[in-house]
Amino acid sequence: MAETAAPVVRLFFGNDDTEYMVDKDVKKPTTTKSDALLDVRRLQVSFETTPGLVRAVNEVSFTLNRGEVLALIGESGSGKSVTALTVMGAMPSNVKQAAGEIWFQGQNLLSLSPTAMRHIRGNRIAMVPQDPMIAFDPVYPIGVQIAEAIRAHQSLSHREAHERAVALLDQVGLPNAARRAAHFPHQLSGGMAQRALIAMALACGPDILIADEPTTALDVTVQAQILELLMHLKETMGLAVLFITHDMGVAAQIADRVAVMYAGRIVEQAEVDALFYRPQHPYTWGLLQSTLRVDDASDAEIRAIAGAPPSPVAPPPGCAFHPRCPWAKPICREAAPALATVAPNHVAGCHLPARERQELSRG
Amino acid sequence: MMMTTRATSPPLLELRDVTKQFYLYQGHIVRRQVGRIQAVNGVSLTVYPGENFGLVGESGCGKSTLARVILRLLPPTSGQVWFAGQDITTAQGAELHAVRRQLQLIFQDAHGSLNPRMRVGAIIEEPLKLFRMGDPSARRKRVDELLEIVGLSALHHRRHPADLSGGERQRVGIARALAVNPQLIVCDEPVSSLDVSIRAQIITLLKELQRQFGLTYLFISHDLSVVKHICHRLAVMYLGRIVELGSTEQIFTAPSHPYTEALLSAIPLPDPQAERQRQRILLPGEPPDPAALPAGCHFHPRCQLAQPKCREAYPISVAVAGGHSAHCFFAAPFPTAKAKDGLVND
Repeated sequence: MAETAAPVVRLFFGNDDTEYMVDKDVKKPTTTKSDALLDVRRLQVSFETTPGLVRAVNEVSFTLNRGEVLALIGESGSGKSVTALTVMGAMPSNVKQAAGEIWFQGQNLLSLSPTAMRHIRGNRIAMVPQDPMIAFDPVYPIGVQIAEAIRAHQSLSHREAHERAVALLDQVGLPNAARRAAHFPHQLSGGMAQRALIAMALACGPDILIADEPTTALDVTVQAQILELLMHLKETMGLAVLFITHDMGVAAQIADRVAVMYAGRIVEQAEVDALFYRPQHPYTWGLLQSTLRVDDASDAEIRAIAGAPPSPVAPPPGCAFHPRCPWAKPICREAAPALATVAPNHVAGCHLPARERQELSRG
Repeated sequence: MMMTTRATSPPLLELRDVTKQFYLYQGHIVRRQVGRIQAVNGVSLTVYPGENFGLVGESGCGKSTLARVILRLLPPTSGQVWFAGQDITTAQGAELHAVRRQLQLIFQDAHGSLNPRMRVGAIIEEPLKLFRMGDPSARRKRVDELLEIVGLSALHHRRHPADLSGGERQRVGIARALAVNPQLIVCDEPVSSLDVSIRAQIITLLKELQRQFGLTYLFISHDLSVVKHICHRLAVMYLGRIVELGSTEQIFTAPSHPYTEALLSAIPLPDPQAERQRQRILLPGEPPDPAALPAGCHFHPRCQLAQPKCREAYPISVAVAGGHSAHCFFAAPFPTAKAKDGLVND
């Protein structure tokens, strides 16, 4: 597999230098030490839009291990969904440039041909989209759609694929799976449709599941059921889950590690406890402060982050968060901070000295 | 002590046994009724001046239908809506026009509820024109003042909604609702479509406006964490009925209906350690089809406590504390609850 990938890699690197040089003989890049299942490095995605070039994803790097949930947190427009779609190789058509590397099983996904990518997408890496009602084709029964996904990757007969689809629907807890398989998407409730979509994503026994806000369209009691199901599947199937969300509560509930995105960059990444109890970036801190909690005192003061996220067309110079940051210093206006290790397994991109950042965790 | 001030002032809004049904029809030439949806079912509640009353529930529970009935956008099937001591259920013409000035609405979708072809100034000015308030220059002054109040500036006057961010659009919606000095503002999920950081700003603004102008809000939301921070009293709805009613404090510290309990337990906390220790009540299934409601207590098919009697009759309201009631056979009545918790009379 790796051999077919290697020669084309350079094409997509643009001006990247020799650090990641890949030769025919070298199966893996020299920098790979981790045995991560997915290794995204310095991913950059830009779009051509009417108002100008939009850098939706900028220098994003993260790894995902087997049996782990990585939550990608961010507000709308922070680039979290574009990151996910790029990993899936399903970028929108107006993508101008996608640079960087996405390593999966010794292959750089960005350099794969569309045909090679088609063998991975939906097979090894599957996705659960946000809105189940939009994701399904309204004119086919769900069983047929799931069977189609199976037959796209495995040589099974229609009958075998259908049986497998029913078994999957049963596995995700859809009552009366055999009868439900013949139902059309509109006959299912939101929660059931989301279960069916999860069944479809699991159709080929993927290694990685990308869940793009899978519970945002659902009611809280149903959200609790779906999160429980995802956790159960992760445990039993050893899935690696990239969970995209804007909800700090959901991330706290299911994530092992969390990456916070702002204006196309990861600004902080850490294990879940460290991120929630010892945030090292003012944006993470602000998000935690402005998140409303049901267990707060009802008169607790809400501390909002001032201002609004920057325009993706004309992001502010320096650190993109500086116009909203209460601790902004002159240097924040001039240079974008690099991600630095602030504690073991904890990186943050902020100019503030360590001493001042410590104070964030104390609030 | 808040209770006493409320008890002495007459209610601003009172619903008496309000029911709203929608009928399902089939056939084109011979239309016949094939079913009915009980969207709101015997809802009675009172909202006092200066308070912030929350209506909580999941999608399909009838909270938005109830808001439409209150705003006289939909006629109720039965029951009465009293506003400021006047029965507005059948108000018409000039009388209804006068009531509408006192009742304004903030929408969930600030994008869809602002005319994209109008400028912000004109949007905010429209209700002033509609109610013939002031001459053009006075109106212009009022619009600038309103922009200031909601945290925008006179610079926004000539902008179009498309030029604004989500938070700014919601501020325009709030300014428009405030323009005619209403007594009651119905907020239908005003922050649900906003990002976390913006959501906190809008909630702070709504609270500030209430303090400044003595507004009364009827706040509709599916998000209990939002409601907790802004409402004084709450009604929890499930399938068209109010299942629990009480002060925010009472409902959050001592939920007395199993549905309220499950709802509270389903909300994730932004606290990983607390999440790991939490015992979650997972409700099985989803709310049933409102066109075919289960007999007895509507919640019984999903309820952990359900007994045979729950299938037979709808439980009457049980007062579990002063101003706190729940529709459940297993809610501990007032004296018992008081003795159990050793509560002193409030």
